[in-house]
Amino acid sequence: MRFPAVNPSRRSPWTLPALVGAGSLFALLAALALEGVWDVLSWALLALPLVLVGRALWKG
Amino acid sequence: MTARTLQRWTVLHRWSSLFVTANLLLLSLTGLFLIFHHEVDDALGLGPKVEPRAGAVPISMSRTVELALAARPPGWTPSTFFEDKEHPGLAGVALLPPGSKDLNEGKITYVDQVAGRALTDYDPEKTFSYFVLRLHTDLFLGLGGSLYLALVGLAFFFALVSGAVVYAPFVRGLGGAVGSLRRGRGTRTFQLDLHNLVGVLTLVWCSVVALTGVVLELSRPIIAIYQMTDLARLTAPYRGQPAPATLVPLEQAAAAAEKAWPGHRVEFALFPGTPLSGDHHFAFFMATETGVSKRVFKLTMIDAATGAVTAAQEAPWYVKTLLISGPLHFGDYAGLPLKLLWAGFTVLTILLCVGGLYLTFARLRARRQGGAGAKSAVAVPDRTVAAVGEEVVTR
Repeated sequence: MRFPAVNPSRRSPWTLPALVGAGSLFALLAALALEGVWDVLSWALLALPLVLVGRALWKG
Repeated sequence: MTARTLQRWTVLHRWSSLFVTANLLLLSLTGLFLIFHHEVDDALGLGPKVEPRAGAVPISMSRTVELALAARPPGWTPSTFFEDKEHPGLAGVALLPPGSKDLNEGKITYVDQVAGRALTDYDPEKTFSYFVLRLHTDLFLGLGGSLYLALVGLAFFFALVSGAVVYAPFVRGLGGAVGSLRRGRGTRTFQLDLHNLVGVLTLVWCSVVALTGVVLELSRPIIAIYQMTDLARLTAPYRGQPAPATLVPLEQAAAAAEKAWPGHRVEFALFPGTPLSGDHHFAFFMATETGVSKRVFKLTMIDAATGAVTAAQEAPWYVKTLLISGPLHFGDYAGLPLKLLWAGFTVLTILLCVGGLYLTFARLRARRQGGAGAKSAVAVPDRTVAAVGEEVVTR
């Protein structure tokens, strides 16, 4: 039984999903609790997954 | 992770997803509409018609309730009072049919507090939005439908988690670059990459919406628990006493509640006789204009006979969870930008469902065409991992 080779890069493959997930969670809660400039930051963070999917579809 | 474990998670992901898919498509489509239902209703002229009148003085809360009661047959009783934030100057009064104490049986009458008239020509239950809302919340099946959809929500969360577990070993094969969509290797590979990409990037949002949806579907059991525990304790001194014959005016009780929580305003009020207030009290849920307390309501119980404060405290944690699940599920707490983001995520969820269905059928087709050798094939860059029985072979 063999799995695909481990990525030689030092960066964990979960870095991006984890960052995006943490960002989404922070954004959901920040927008709920805070207002003003935090709203804009929350929207930007929350929009990140949509932007990444759009980018992947655009660039492949 | 061993091949056997991976295979088990794959089977769990497949079947939990298949159970969820049709339900989730319905919930996503209806949810997509519900995000914008105020805007759609107003644009189609189906919403309550109230003209903005700056500086006008609204009628009192009590008069508002009187007008709502006058619009219903005799015997109906008020259960809830709230001000419509989407339409300033408009208040809603939920009224229960004779003999009922079930908040879910309440019928809302809207009152224009500036014009001083009940909007008898507007029945929110006869709108398309209400039809979609019922479809989304309980499939027109009442408690049974709510519990079923709670199960769907849990299965969706499990499908998300199992999907991430199944995806994990193959992320390495993507060279750490999450989001690679391999074109030119067939539709199935492209759809698999897209399904994985959308799934992992929307994991947190979908989990939050799924779990808050479960909490909302369990609102009736949650209210029943509150009634049997915290409310029973708060109202214990009143047990056995007859319900008050006359009530203090609603605005007097509201003023007492606002005095108990400086800086807070009444978010909504419950009349005596409901499961959340008991027979002897007005229950007020209080919120601030800004900050965390805007969502985490404070509870105030006002003696309906005297107007005195019986209790002013934080709502129990499970009631808070229920209350805070609403905005997190609906995405209606930060204006149109957040609604648009919610819509974007909902579209991605639909994409996730359709992609998952495609992959399942493509797998079945490949299996039929290729026999047992093509039982389960997952393509990753530069290599294809084929799970045959319990073996994972790298070619």
